[in-house]
Amino acid sequence: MIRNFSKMALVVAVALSIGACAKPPVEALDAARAALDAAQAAEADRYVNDLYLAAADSFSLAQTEIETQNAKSAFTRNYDRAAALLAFVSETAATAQTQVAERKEAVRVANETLFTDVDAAIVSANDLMKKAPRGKDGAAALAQIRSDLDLVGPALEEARAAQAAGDFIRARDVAQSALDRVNGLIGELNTAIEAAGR
Amino acid sequence: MRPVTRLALYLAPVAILVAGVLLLGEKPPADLFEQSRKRLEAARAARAGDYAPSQFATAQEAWETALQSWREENRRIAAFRSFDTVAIRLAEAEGAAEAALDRARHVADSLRSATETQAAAARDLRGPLEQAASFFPVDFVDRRALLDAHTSLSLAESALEREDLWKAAASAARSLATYDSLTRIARERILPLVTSSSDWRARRDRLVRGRSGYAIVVDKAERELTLYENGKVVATHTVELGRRWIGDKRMEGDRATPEGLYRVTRKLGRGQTIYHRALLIDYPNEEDRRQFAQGKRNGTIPAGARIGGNIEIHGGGGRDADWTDGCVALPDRTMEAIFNRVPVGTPVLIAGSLTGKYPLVDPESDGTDR
Repeated sequence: MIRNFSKMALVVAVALSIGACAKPPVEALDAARAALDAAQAAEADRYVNDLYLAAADSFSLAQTEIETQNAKSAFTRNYDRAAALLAFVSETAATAQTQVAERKEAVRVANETLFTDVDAAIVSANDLMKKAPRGKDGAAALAQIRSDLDLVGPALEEARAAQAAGDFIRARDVAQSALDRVNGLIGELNTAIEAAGR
Repeated sequence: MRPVTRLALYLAPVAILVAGVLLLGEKPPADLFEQSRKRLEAARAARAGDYAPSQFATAQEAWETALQSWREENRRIAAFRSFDTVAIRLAEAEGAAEAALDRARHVADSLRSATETQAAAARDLRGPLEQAASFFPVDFVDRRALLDAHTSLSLAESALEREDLWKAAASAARSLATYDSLTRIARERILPLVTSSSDWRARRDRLVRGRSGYAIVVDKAERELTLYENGKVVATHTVELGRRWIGDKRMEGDRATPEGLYRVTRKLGRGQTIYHRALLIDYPNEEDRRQFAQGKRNGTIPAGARIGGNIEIHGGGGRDADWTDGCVALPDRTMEAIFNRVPVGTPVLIAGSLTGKYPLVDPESDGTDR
């Protein structure tokens, strides 16, 4: 009988120890929180807001899921769903961070091309200024164009400064505006040259 | 009864009691958590962090506090758990999240609406200002400020597109303020020109009505020279003026075309002018000298300045730009035709504007009558 009682006690002990093995996914929780913070620091909420929102909401859900399980008896706790949610948070936050980096890089590279385009447009405009009627001929119109063209250089510098500071979107907007301006001036110069040739 | 069964029967009530204490207790507020979490999620999706930061922070803090309270309660034996504090915190979190959501939507709508309105107003001002910048002399409109306004408008449009509403609103406001300021400054300078147009029309009418012989009238704003014979228009031609043509000539070198009533004092034929043919007029006349002296007295004209002269109506024009140092230029053939008709002594009225039509102002609403 004593032997049977010992066997039962052993079974209970094993069951208890198995139940006690279900521990909250603390490391996964910390990792997910760190991934989410890193994604936010990388401006994921600006560049890939949908991904960031999905990760942030899942993190809250995982936290409540952990406490829902903590509220249960030690024998019935199951953190599988919480662990799955936290894995999703870490993965999504990492993806968001990668996509932010990719998007930023894409804008940065496109900006470099844009800067080159503005430089080339300024050179073209300056060339056209040389071809345009000089001296008294159309001087007032040319002075206006010269004045506008001189303002594009500082605008491009402003765009480059924004690029250097990592504000790629502002850099793109300022450079695009400068390019539009120079192209407008090139149009005016071509018209003036054409008129002078008539 | 076997001893084991007996032992089990003794222990059963104790085990049930222990299990009851361990397992039975107040139901955890999981539903409330889910409810407030969803509110926070909605607020976050509405960018409450950007548009209602304090309300959103309050909601998040209350939610975190509720979670922490729940965590602490979970450490107690089930029978001794109480979720009253948790429920209070959750109610606070939900209320704050709701407020954050409402506020965020309101702020975002206001910013979007303000940006759209201001950008539209800026675009409305942009066209006439561009027109004014090309119509008037180069320094009439501050071109650096104009470019800055263009850039700000582009930034606003781009930020609005990507829903970066604070930046969009700030850029649109800056753009509109700059355009508005430039428009106001330009209008202040233009309005006197517009209002003086009725005086110019009166002077023209006095000059040409019932007059026998020729008279020349130049409308600077319209770039138009009209030749009258016996009070009737016989020809109208496009002219080019001084580089800083707007306003009266004040001194030598200002490159303005003078305004007032003059007379042809000399005709310069072939070989006497580099501009094909020329009609020299009597600038400076009496009135010009009086104004020049007054300007020197009140310091608006530098002490060492000279009044200038040699203002002509001459050839060499047709360049589609204002390029002279103050003269009125016509294409050679046109100039020759006028030269051949008008004698020395012909009156020449050079008017700022006979129509009052300038960019940025509406003559109809500025009280001038045509």
